[in-house]
Amino acid sequence: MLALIVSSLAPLAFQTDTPDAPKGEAVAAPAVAVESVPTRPEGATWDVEYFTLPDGCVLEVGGMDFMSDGRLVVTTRRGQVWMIKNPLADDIIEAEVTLFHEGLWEGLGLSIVNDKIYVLQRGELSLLEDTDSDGRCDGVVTIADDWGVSGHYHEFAFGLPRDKNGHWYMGLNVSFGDPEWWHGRSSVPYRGWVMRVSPDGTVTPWAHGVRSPNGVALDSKDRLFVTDNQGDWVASSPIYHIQEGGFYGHPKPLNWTDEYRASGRLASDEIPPAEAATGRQPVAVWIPYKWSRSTGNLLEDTTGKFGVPKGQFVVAELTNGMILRAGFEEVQGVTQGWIVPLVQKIGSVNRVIQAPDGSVFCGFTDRGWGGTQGHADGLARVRFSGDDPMEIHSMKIIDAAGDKPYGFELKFTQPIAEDWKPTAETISMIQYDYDYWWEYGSPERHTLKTEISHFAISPDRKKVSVRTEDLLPAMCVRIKMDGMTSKGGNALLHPEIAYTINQFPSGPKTNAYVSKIVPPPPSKGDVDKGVLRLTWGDALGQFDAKGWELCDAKLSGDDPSRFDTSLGNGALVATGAGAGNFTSRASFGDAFMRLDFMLPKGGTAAVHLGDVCVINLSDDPAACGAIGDAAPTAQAYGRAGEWYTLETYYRLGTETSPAAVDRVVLNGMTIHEGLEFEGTSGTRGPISVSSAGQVALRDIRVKPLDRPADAGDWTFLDPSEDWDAWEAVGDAEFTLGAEGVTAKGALGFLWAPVEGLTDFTLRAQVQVNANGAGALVVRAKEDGDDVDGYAVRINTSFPDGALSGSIRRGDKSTNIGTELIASDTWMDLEVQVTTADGGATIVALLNGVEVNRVTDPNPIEAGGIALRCDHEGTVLKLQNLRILK
Amino acid sequence: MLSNLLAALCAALPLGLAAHGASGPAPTPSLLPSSPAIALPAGPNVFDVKAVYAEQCAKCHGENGDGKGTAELERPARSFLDGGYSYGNTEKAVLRSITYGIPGTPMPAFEETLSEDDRRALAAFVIGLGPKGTIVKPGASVLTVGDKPQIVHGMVPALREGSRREPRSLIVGFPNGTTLQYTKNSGTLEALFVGNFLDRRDWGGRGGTALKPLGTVTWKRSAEHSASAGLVDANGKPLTSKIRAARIVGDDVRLDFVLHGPDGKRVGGGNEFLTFLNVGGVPVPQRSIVASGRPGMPAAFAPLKGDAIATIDAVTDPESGNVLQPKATVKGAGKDLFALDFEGLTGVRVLVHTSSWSDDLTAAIRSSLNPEGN
Repeated sequence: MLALIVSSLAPLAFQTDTPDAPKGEAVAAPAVAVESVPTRPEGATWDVEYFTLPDGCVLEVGGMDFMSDGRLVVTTRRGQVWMIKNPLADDIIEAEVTLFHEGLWEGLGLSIVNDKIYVLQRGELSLLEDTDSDGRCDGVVTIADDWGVSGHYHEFAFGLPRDKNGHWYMGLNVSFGDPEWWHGRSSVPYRGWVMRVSPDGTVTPWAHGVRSPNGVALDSKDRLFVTDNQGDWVASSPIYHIQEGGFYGHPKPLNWTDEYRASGRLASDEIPPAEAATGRQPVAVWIPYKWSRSTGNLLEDTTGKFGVPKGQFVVAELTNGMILRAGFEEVQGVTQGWIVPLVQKIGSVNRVIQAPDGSVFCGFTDRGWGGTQGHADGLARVRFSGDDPMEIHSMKIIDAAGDKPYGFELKFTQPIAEDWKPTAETISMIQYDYDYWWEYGSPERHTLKTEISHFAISPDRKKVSVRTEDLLPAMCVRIKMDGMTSKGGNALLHPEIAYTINQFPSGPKTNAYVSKIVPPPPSKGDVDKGVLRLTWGDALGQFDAKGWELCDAKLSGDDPSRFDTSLGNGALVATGAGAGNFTSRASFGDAFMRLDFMLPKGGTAAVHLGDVCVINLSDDPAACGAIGDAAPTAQAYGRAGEWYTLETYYRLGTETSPAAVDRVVLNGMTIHEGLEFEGTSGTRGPISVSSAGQVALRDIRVKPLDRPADAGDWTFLDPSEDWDAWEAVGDAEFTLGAEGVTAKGALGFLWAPVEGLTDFTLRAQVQVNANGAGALVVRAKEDGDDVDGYAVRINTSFPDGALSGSIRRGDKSTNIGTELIASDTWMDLEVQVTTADGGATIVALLNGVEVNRVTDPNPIEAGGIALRCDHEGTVLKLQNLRILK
Repeated sequence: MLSNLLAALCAALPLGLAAHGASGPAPTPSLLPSSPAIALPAGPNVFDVKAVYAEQCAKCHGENGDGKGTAELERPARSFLDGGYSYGNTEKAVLRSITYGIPGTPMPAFEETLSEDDRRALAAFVIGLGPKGTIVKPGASVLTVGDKPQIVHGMVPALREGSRREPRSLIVGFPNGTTLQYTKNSGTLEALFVGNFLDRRDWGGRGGTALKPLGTVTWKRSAEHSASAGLVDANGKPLTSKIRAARIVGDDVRLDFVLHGPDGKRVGGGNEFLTFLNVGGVPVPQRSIVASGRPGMPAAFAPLKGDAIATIDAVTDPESGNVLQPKATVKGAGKDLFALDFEGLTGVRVLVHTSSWSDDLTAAIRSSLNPEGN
């Protein structure tokens, strides 16, 4: 039945070089033309036919609508628009697919008004014109573009239904990345909002708190429904009934409400916002994760010709590759409802649209999103065969009555067989809810197998009601029928249905949500891991800082263009005459850097990130944060005499990519993204702060992001393989566990089974507790009761003046007084040992950055490696010890 | 007023079109053929990867990747056979999950325990277990211009030191191999390229990435250009231009822009016509801009400094003596850019992109302005 569609009008854009070029090679994905034996359980009830597309057409469907002559217009994620003539032809071979336009920046929504084609691109809503009527677009007109696009890949724009007054609706994704990559963020206006676009192009922020609102739909009553995708703050895939001004749960979009903007408040990454407790709009339907992992759009069946009761909804699901069926009801003024699978194993359905004859067109795409049922792109036509299935028609919540508690009524499409009785054996019910938190999704929580106390079946055997004393509001319910058939002998096609209870039909309204605020999980990022705290402890030790001092600072009353300083440790300020720059001794490659700064009245300063770029700080809010010609995209600076936090991710140039600043965040607001710099050296450099006047600094931290790979022939000294060969000497206790070797004080040495090492590089992960201390000793030799060697200290806070990275051997010791590494935090320790004419040189690197170097003209010539535990109370850990000779 | 200006400008157009028609190579196809997608990683690593998988992953994800391992988990482990991943099915996304783990799930981080190469191989292996998705091979996303200009919307990489990648850009390609890159919401031409057209790098991965113009940059906007090309209001204050439409008109392209005053109010608009002068067979880009303010809000080009390099005489109707085309003055307008201003027409400026002015250019323009060849 399904054969190739041959396009009589091959699109110009996809002509191949030569007439005999191999066909099909330009098609990146297999667009399966002929359906093999249908394996979907709904195969007898719905026919799924796949359009075959011209060579080179990868139809990643983002939006669909019909022209008045019945042509189906499809826009794609590749920024193309395809025209499908005769899409309803009895024989799908009669359909004809041609290219109307290419060159848009994605098209994830499409709307046709009076036969004019409107496409929602990532950056604008556009009208596509064909003024010469040659079947190809020759003009792209901007209708609206009044929303922010920072350039992050996740900033999709989804749409595009149109209401009876001519307003379009669209959903704008949040992007990712602050402060860690999995966090949603909204760094430019209206990311995470649902927006309305008026016919004149006016863009109105409509509702907020959505994460990835891929499905935007209006029903016949102009009710606006939006689907969202599981992720941070979004427990599973929800369908929202959008109310104007409503807040739907993702905190980051709150940044663009009038209230937040006026107060300068910014939503936390991890703490639920106050609005979440009582100000959230409830989710109309939570789709169970097992049914939907990436929800597309939905439509209301207005035809009654699709084998679905008229007025119910068809929902697109792309990861599990199916369509679902949903219904909504209003209960105490709140929308809630049910969902059930409809037709499975279709393909990665991103968009659905219904033709007047009831057929539902399913547009596929899953690139980068993940699909499980094949058909990663393309288009299918799903038609009702006329063979009525035995299905759950609908589900509604029913009120308590007399001594009967709340419950549900399930309606069926056909009378139930006489031999089926509703009992605890044939109907099961569970209730569950979710966690509202910043983690990615939520498991179903508090799952409770609910005891049904009342069963009933209607005289016409088409309705079953169940009631239970245990029913709770603000929970989801799943009910499953077992062994049910119709009187005609048809098995119940989809025996399980899910319902979201926001409110009971009567009684006091609950203010709880299905997705409940829980204590935030521990901060994911071990915030100290991999970080070098350059100004902790000895605040000046890691810097060339002539004329700077550690003090307290405040604006001078006499001359607010200067600071008054006093004894203290709250600020680093240049106070001396002829003070120079504040320049790190260490050089950095790709890195995250943060610092706090305070400027005096009219003050300026410059933060040099190696030779990548200079961030200009200024007491002028419009200029503070400028980089070269690039002004800050938001004003985040306030006034002189107050502290502000500057954070930035930057990268060195390489042969293939220019140096770049991926992001600069000032006081929590993103002020730059994606700046690129040509002509930099590509070499590591220090971080330096300069100022013509005064600037106060504090808490400078760097997290290197270019940690060295283990290139070369490394030998792992793995104690789990030869623990017996490791020799413990002294009073410390050394144990081997899942985290490697743990040493507990007092003084003792653990000798690795190597000896006679001269020049080599050592790497290991080590950590130590607060006030504990130890060292890795290289070229180590027993020397009476002691050990001679170069001891590289592992000490985060024990006050002996030799903190992590210090290198000690008698008078050749060079101490580090800065608490570069936090306690109980794994650090990457690297020790390089080399010999030259001048003696032996020992270099210590912490988290990939050189922090210390000692040359000993009278060196120990060779030796082993020992882990030293220093004193009582120490807990020292070592893992992944490896050497490169 | 506007219609008069347009008439004046349109009089200048026809020969531009004719010259353009003679240039450029034959139409070429838009999409280069790609090789068939390859889903499974091959090569010497496969055996090792399997061993690593069996050791590190199979307990939860199952020996064959079906998500049915022996470990008892609060949430079922991902079935790799199904192919869905928490953060997308690109190797980069899966690598990230392997490296850092997945918050809120039992999926641990392997940053410390597996080398990056191992993690990378593992990501490729795991993706290979899933269904084949759309894999865009390098080269399969290269667009070339056919026999008509092509207009592309998208983000482009930064062009210069410290500038940002520009999400709302407009890239216009011509069959003669010239590409123009505009920033839509400042209305400015940022660069000219010559060569191949464009790599739609956003067709790979999850999309949304910058497009890559493939030609060689032959001209880049600088501050001096911005100063010379600007439109100003009656008080000499700069107006902001926003491109609101891009249209293919015959073999040429017309951009429609709106003008906003310093207070953000819309004060007028205009058009920019992109054509080419044919000078000795070489297509020379010519941008003819006509702008008009609303009544009471005049919009004019700021006068150019410097001496005239050449003049082009007025064209009059020999019978009526009416001026068909006012006298034009050529001035330098920054590096590799020249401007023609027409006497009495403050809202019209023609910009010619060439490294130096020549008599041939004067002649080409003179003939384009005067179809009779007088």
